[in-house]
Amino acid sequence: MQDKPSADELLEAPAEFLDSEVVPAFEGRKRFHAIVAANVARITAREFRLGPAQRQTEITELQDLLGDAATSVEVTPNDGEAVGRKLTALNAELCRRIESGDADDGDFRAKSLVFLRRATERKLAIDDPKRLVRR
Amino acid sequence: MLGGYSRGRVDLTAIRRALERCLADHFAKAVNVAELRLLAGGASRKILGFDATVEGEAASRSLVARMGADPGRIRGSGVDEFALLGVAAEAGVCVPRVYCRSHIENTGESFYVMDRLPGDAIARKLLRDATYARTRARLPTELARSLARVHSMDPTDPRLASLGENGSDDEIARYRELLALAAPGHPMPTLALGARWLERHRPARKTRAVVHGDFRIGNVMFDESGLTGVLDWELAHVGDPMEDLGWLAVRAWRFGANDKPIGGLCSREEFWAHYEREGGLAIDPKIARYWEIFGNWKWAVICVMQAAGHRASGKRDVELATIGRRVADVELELLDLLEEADLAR
Repeated sequence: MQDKPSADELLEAPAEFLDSEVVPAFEGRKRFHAIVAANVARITAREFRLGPAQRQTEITELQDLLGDAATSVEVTPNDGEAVGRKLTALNAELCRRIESGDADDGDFRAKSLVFLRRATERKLAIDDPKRLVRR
Repeated sequence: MLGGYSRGRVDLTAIRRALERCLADHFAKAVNVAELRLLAGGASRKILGFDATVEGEAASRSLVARMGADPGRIRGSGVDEFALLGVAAEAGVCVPRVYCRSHIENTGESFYVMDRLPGDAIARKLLRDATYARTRARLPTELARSLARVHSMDPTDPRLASLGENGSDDEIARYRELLALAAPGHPMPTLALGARWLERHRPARKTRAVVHGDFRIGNVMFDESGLTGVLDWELAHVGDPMEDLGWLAVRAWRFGANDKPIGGLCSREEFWAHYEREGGLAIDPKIARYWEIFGNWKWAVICVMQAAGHRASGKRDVELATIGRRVADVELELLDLLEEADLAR
């Protein structure tokens, strides 16, 4: 078991340092890059916090959308690499269904759009949470 | 900024001599080039700024030389910008005046010379600074006028023979291929849904026109009094002129001012009205929206490509490193537009 602080708490330290010490000390390109670097630390912190649960949710939603037999990749919840493989396989299957015309209209289009919106909003909750209020 | 550039592989003396020779031929008078410096470009295309004094003229001219691989041409795109800018000026598009073109003898590197435009191209300054309040008010009309005149250019003009012809079919296929290359084994279902919709809803081609191909905020110069010039012509082609109207409405060019869909400046309807009044083609809102959806989809693909390019290059650049995480922002816009289009059917 790793000791405290947790990974996401640790990442707040460089983000705060960049914001309070580095950004005000520079102008132009360096200042901009320091702002971006602080943002990188915060994206990563949010991914540590939200990522694991998001991935499980996405697997469940995709299985609901595509049916249980959608992929043969087996997953044990704590095996990160297998979760990644499963997600790739399920998303690839959704792409195949889209390309075959299943999502051109009707019920599967509606359900796919609901899934894709949720999945995109989850990505934004990590990458750019402000985007979700700034429509 | 010149730094290593002047000491490195580029011989500024040779460039200066080539510029003087080229301009002397053009003016049929002796020309002196001074203050030669690199303004932009590194890996891709270099732009050099300089002051030219023509024999007998009191004031010097502020000019730029755009460097390229072949005379007036950009590697890869093949667009003859020198010729294109000349034809665009004749059509009344607000563009820098071009003078002459030549190449540097020892390297074979080509260049063409044009006026250095006054002003700035930085979108955030345009949309936020108090200095540019007047510019913001004038730009919708001025951009519409220039765009209408781009579309009035004759695509069969022999001077425009370098322009390729591409419509939506070729463009979708091309960007699909680029996406597959940039993200192999990484399925992107939102982009697949977008591509499929674009393929199934292609508007019938009515007009063949010269399309600028990258007409947007960030690629136009402005000063306190308004538009000073339309730049970045390397993606010009012959196609559906509505492509330019759709691209200009892409979310990324609003730089946060999303209540004003056209470049953070005005509504679509206002811009379309200016464009028609300035002699542009009649706008079919459905077709303009089609190209807006295409534009957002294409921009998402470009972000994926830039992210892949950065990952493959091994370059350490904190800004480029995050580009891949900007794709979701564009995907959400694409989903909003696709759902809106579904409802409008």
